[in-house]
Amino acid sequence: MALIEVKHLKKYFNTAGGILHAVDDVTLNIEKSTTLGIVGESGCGKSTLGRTIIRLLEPTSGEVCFKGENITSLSNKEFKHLRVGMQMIFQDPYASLDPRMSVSQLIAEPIQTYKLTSSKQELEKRVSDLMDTVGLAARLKNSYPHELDGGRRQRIGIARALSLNPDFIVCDEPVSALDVSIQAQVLNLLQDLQKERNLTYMFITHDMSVVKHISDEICVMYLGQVVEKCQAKELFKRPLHPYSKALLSAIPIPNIHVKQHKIEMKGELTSPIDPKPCCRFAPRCPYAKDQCFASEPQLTDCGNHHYVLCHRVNEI
Amino acid sequence: MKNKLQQNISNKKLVEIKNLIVHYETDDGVVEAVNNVSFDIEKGEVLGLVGETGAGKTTIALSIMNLLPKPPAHVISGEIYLEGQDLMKKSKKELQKIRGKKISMVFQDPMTALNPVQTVGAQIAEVIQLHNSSMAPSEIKEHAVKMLETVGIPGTRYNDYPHQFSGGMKQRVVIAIALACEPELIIADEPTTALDVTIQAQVLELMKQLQKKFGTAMLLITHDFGVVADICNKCAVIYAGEIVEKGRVEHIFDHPMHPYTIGLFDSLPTMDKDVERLKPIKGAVADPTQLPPYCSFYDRCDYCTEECKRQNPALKEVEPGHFVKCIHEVRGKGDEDHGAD
Repeated sequence: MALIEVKHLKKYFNTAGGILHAVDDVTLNIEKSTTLGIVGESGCGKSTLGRTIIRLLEPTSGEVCFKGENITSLSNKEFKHLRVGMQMIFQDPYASLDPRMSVSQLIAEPIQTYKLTSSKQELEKRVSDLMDTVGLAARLKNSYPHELDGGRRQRIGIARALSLNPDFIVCDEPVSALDVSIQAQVLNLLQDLQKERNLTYMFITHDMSVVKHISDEICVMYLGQVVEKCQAKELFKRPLHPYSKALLSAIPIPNIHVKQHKIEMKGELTSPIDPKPCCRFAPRCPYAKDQCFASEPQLTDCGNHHYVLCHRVNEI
Repeated sequence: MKNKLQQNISNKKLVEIKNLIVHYETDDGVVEAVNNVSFDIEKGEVLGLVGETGAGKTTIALSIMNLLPKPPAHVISGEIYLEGQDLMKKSKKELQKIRGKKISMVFQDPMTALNPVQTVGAQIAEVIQLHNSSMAPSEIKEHAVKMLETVGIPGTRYNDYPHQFSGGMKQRVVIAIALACEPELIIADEPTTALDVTIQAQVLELMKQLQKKFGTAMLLITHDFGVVADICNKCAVIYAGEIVEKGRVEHIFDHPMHPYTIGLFDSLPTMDKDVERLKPIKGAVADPTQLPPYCSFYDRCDYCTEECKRQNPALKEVEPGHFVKCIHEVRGKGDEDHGAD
């Protein structure tokens, strides 16, 4: 049984212009101790998906099962004991920490909220263990976030997520705000923690090289839908959806001898508000034919657990 | 006589920056943002300036435009020549003639670079009018429409406001403004960082085409080696306000020699190879208020020795056109065996 099972999850927002389909009928599983990467461009619904899965947002419809239990039907009170197992690391280490709390207070806060310990000594011990785990020097425990650089702040965010010993962590662009040399440190830390603690990650990012590095499986999202889902290696070897192909070809590669053949996509993202019942990528797709504008494609298995949402996947 | 000499020297050199030192005075002390930076840009050349947050890239760009906020910024020393003329000695009025006409700038965030209450057409027309006071209004508009079309936006959108455009389109408008007076140099400060990859690819392609078409020289500030590989001929790597390595892109990408450059390449997750574990650079960026008198990369360097603590090394030419600021002759791994160990 997969640790996380998401079935036909939808999250719509009512806006002045109509109903915004942020997440539209997403079905996926995440096996224990693996990493599922979610990639896509801004506005494709990847963060909303992450937040809806851990019920920071209430889904419009659909199911999310955590360890086999459907968490969408639970009351807030019933859900509370499961919430401990599902945590989140946020993108912006500048905005996600209370500037008036010291490092040790920030890390202690979740433990106190869930009353996981009553003794002060044990709390202190747990905080210093956590700081050690994420590589924060003990001397920083009375520092405030503004005194620390981005990499250290993100380590606090990671320590907070770990403080409740979760099974599942949604990492929402955890390294996007960091410089490359620091980004590598944090990615290594996340991988080490996963091995040590058997963690399961959902890793949301727009950076294809990062997602390739860290993921076991990858979902490519476009306008609220998963358009391609497969093993990480498979996606980079054999991308099948026209959007994935274009996305991969657009990444600037730091090598002057690789001549990239860029697939130019027409235009930009279309609106996720009240989308027409057709392939959402069709207006930008170089392979689009009449049928793509006429009906919605279904996610089809192209073998080897490689799922693609495209009418013409077998022809192109 | 001296003037003539200078003109001769800078025949090919469009911009020359010599020994630039810029400090910021803050409550926490003096931030040594740019420390003795020298480089030049030839006509039609694209130079990539690469470095991490706080390395001093934007400060250098603003120094060239003479747009530094003073205070807190102080130019301690340095000369900046544009076609042989020292920009530091120009009056405000003279500088206004140069900005937008000879040098123009593309900023990182197209959302904030445009005026929200003016149509995009008017914003392009403004720069044309400022530098061509004799032009008739109809001519100015015609030219502005042509610029819109050059960057791939239909001229019919002349009267639209910035909020009616997406991020990528706004950046195209900013580029149109920058190119409107056919400047000699464009300074592009992280022009694609705020954009999605597919849009970034479109904008980079556009910049490449226009750079070729107009023969404009460009100073491209970025933190992304991928962007440099795509568009630049030359590259300078900057750390803690100093250029640690510069040369043609072949030098930097094929055999980087400064430990910092090598470390940056190693810490990138690559698309073409599978690596189990990344090799980050240890520690954090040097504190610019407390730079050591010796090599500022010392604490993070894998190759440092006692000798490194004795001096702050100078940029040394290790092969024609390839400069490295390190006393050790570190041989970076070429592309062939990149990431092999």
